[in-house]
Amino acid sequence: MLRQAWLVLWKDLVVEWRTREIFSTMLFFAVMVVLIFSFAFLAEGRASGDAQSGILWTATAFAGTLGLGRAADRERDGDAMRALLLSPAPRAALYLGKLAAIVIFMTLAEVVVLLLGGILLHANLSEHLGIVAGLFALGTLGYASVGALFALMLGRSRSRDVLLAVILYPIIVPVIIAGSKGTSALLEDIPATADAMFWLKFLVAFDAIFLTLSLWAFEPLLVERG
Amino acid sequence: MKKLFAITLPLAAIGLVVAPILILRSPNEVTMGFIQKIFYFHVPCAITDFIAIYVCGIASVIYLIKRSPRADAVALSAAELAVLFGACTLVTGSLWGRKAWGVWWQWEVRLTSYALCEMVFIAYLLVRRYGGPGARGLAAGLALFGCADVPLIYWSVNKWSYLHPPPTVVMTLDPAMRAAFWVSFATIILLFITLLGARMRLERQRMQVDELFMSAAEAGLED
Amino acid sequence: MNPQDQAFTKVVGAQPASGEGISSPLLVSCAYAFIWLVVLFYVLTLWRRGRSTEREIDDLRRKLAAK
Repeated sequence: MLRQAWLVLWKDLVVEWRTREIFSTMLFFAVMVVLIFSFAFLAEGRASGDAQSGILWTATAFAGTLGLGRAADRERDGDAMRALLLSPAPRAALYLGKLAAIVIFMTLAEVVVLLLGGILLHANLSEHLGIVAGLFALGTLGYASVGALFALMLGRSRSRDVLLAVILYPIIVPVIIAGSKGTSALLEDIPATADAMFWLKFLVAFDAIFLTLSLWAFEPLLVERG
Repeated sequence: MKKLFAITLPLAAIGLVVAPILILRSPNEVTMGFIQKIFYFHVPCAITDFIAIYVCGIASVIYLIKRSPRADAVALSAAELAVLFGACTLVTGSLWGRKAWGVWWQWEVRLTSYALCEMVFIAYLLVRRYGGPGARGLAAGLALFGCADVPLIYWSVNKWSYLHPPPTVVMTLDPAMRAAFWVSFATIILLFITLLGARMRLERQRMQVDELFMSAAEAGLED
Repeated sequence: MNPQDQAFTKVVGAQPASGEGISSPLLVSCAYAFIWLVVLFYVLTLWRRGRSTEREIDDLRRKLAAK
């Protein structure tokens, strides 16, 4: 199964390498969100730790939705999804491959967003970079595990672009709360690492629950879609 | 179903008349005064909303496994009632808070969690309405994820909320207040069961329309 | 003050002074009225949708019977 998941992932990476469509559009959008929110929240060139954290996570969430939509659209074009489903690969492998691809695209965009955060917002992320990386990695995984499932299910639906946000955002609110509060705890004058570690553990729980649910729900939802 | 209506509907109607009388006659609470009387229907609405959410979630899981149209009808009906009772919970909570806190809204853990759960089930209804082919399964998946998310939403908002969470005390009610509370609670639950039954009846009628339409289309009567 | 962390006890003696602003009876009435109105509105929509569905059923049955 892992081999088949890897093949699905490799396919997405190769297509993305040739077009660079998802990464470039996600990145541009994320940067614009950081800039626009900076105008809203910066006072005298500075933003509070909460605002810095909020801007970074909002940019991640919005850009992630864009990436999910585009990644799912690729499977819709040329009925690629049907071809994948007709293959003997286990359904879980298809889901894991797509999930891994989306996580990689989002992570690449987040690296740039975090760099921007350090430069434009003067966010001091380097001091506890390990915990920050953990928060973003786990947050991305939780976000993508739910997002990948519903993005693929929305493949042929009308209003799919709007509906993805409608479905996804209420579910991933705990991820945004955990990620932004964990990050802002580290950006305080005296970093509250205990708080950040709590949110890290929370994200582990979220990811475990929703990854399991998504793996189980992938097949029943796919049958419905067919 | 008709037998159930015959029991629940008159009882709910009686309750809707009797409950306010009992509430008005119950004594005022010592610190909050008259405004505390909102509690008698705010809490039952909140509990019923919670029940509706989980009825929707369980029915959605059954639908995903068995593709049962009846389970789908239960899920859709329960989702509509989850939104209805959720709205009642939020509005009555806000009105109570206006007097208790002096503001229409506080980012307090319970109200905030209910607001987020309300959004999940409004999203469910939007998906059912605008999702096109496959909307049933999609919405069922959303309901399943929404139900799994309820404790996580509560846990994260509880930690996030700047308002100190209340101590875990079993709420004690003066005996003179208990009758009003339990009659209100029973009334709201009976209302939920009645409305759920009525909504499911409508859904069954819709399925009948679909079947008749298919027959008519096969007979070449409908374009 | 968080309403939920109170244990409710019966008032004995003088009523507590009410705060300025909207009166408590008005807020309680609005809360109850809201629930009534929402339930009534929902019942009305169910009734309307039920009627139009019944009309559709009758219409389709008539067409099928005519054939």
